[in-house]
Amino acid sequence: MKRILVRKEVCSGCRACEVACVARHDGQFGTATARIKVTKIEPVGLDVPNVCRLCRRPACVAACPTEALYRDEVMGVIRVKVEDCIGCSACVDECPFGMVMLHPATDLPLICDLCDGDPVCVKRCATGAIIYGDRDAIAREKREKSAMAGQSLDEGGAL
Amino acid sequence: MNGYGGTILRVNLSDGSIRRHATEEDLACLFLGGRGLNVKRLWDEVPAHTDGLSPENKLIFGVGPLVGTLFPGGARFNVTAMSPQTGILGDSNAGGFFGPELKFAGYDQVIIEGRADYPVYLCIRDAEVELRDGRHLWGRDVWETTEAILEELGDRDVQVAAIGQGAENGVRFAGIFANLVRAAARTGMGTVMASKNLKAVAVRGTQLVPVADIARFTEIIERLDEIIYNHAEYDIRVRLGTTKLITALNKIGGIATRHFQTGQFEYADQVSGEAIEAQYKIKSKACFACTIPCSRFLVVDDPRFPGLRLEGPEYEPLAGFTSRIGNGDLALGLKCIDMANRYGLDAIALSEGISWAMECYQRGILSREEADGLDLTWGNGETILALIEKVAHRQGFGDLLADGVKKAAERLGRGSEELAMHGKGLEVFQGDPRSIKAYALGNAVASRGADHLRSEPWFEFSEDPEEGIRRYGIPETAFRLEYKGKGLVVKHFEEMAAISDATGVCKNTYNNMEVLNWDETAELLNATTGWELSGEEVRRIGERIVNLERAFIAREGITRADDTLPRRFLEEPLGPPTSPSAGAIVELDIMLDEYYQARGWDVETGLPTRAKLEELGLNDAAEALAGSMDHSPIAS
Repeated sequence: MKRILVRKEVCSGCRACEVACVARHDGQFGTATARIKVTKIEPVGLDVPNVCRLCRRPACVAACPTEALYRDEVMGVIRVKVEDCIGCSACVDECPFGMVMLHPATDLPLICDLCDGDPVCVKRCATGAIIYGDRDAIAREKREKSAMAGQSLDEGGAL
Repeated sequence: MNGYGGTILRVNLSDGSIRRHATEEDLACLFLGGRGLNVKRLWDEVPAHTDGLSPENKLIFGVGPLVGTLFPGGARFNVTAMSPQTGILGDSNAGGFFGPELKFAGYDQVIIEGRADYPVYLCIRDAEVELRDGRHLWGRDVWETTEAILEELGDRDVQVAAIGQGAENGVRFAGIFANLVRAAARTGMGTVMASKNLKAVAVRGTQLVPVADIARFTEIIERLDEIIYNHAEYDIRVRLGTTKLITALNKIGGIATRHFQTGQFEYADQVSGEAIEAQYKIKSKACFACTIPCSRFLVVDDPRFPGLRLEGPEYEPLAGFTSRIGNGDLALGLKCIDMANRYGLDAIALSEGISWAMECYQRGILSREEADGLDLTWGNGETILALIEKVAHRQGFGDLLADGVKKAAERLGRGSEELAMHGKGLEVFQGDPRSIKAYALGNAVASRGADHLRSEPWFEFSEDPEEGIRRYGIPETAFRLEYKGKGLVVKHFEEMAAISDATGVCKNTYNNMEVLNWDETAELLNATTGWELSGEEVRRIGERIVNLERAFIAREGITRADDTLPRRFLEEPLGPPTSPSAGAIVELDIMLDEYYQARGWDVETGLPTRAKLEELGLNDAAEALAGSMDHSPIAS
């Protein structure tokens, strides 16, 4: 299953992902309704994209008193049954990553829908800080990096 | 109103009143926003000869229709007022995140009037606008102030534009700094802010900005992104940002070195953008929604400067605190930049002041005793750090430099006046005008005083004579040491720069990389606003802005006689003798003649003609100029 993976160490903090998300979902410009959020701590140069992690056992769904949220088993995303949502923000409170918010105009939960498999935030990212890929891809990258630490394929004429 | 926040906010600090009115669409069509709408407001509301530091001056923050959009680097806010440094048009802009946040709060312009009784800061959270006590912030630097406000408001998504101690102490070239390091620092806009007892503007916006045709807009941006990613300069801009110019300008012999005594710096390699990248760069940083992350976060590991971390720098402060002052020590240069940012000072003006003093000392015009016992030898680190402190606090010799180099030289006298590198009271940038003639002309005629960003006529670097013929009918326009056609080049790029500043986009993309021509700009603005502008109409908005600014400074008494450069550039051949620019001077008059003709201005006086102003719909400016000048071409 694919999800949006984050490499915060290369994030430039530009927030193009947020604007792209809002442009797609609201047809307007802004950041307040983005389903991806970059946390920026400027004095230390920290920029961290926060994304929906597509939890297998989602706290937001469990918290919903009206069963307005459910997990799409194909995409892995959390979907909202608009007619059942009462706008109580229980999902907002319970997401352990702070990545559910309510839309200021509609009070409906803003949850990443992966743009039906072609996330515009990822397309707009200039640095590769967010990528859309296999959910284990970052873990694999880390294993390979760790294994290769201090090594080079050039050594011993391997390449 | 599509593409706009929709509201103009007016804050009177004298009586504490906060008023709002709808953004005037008719004015937006004529001036767009940002720099354009700001100068229109200034022209209408601030009378001629207003003292920059008086409560009657107005400080105007503005954003344009492309700010906060998908446009890569649609990030910039513009600040405009009567300048307390130059006495003419004050205007400066910066990127980062403040501009978009202001727009998302619903505002296209914030007009600050009057003067508060004690230090305050303006807090804007969407429709909720309040003046908060800022007394505890007075005396703190830009970083401390920003951090204190973020903590106070409990929201790190708040964007803060603040002034440092330099402005508080009345340094005339103090700027306004957003996101810590995004400097709107030319022409003393921070000094105006301090004179109003306004320590900072904090803004948080959660509105969405309506757009006329989002599908069309998105489609254009996708095309733009492709152009940008495939641009020949993309990689080097991401790696080095504008600091790439240290190496590039040194190579052509055009880097400001030891106060323009020569055009090549022997330590250029040690202080270059490449050196920063190799030694201190942690990662790339970017302005709002930009796909060219040309800024860099640096951690400077040097025992002399513990904990030194900064974002940037751009070429201007870097060359200012290295080659211009004869300093080959990169970490020291970065420390200087960090100090200028925290104290909130214009790095160009500050480095000019220091290098001017060093040259005066070199020539025996200034003694060590007069400089508080400091050894003003080129590149002396201790002296340089001490001078920055002294200027920021207006202590001792720093008090002389704190008024800007023009006034400093007038006070010192002894022939130091002709060493003062300024135009109309604003300090010259870090490129040697002798090596780049269009820039020389651009500096001479720029509406805010000597400055390159009013035109940024990069085309003369292109060395593409066929393109020169295609654009201007003149092959020489493509070569930096040629004169012919440079009046046309500067006119063209001034109009582009005006559009950049009025829409709120970055000149790296819009001007230097030329990602959109006039027709494409019109297409994008139409998708944003729903208007039906042609490319020619967009160009004319740029022309209108340039003309109104010219009328503004003409009203202050500026004429052709003021459109000049320091004597050195006009008379002393540029060295070293082995450089590709060796022997160059600037023959300004032939370029000025061509420029005024291209502008439709009076060649003899450099004043805008009634015909030109009326053609652009600036009838009130024509009337005002005719009334204020007996022998102006307008009166006739």
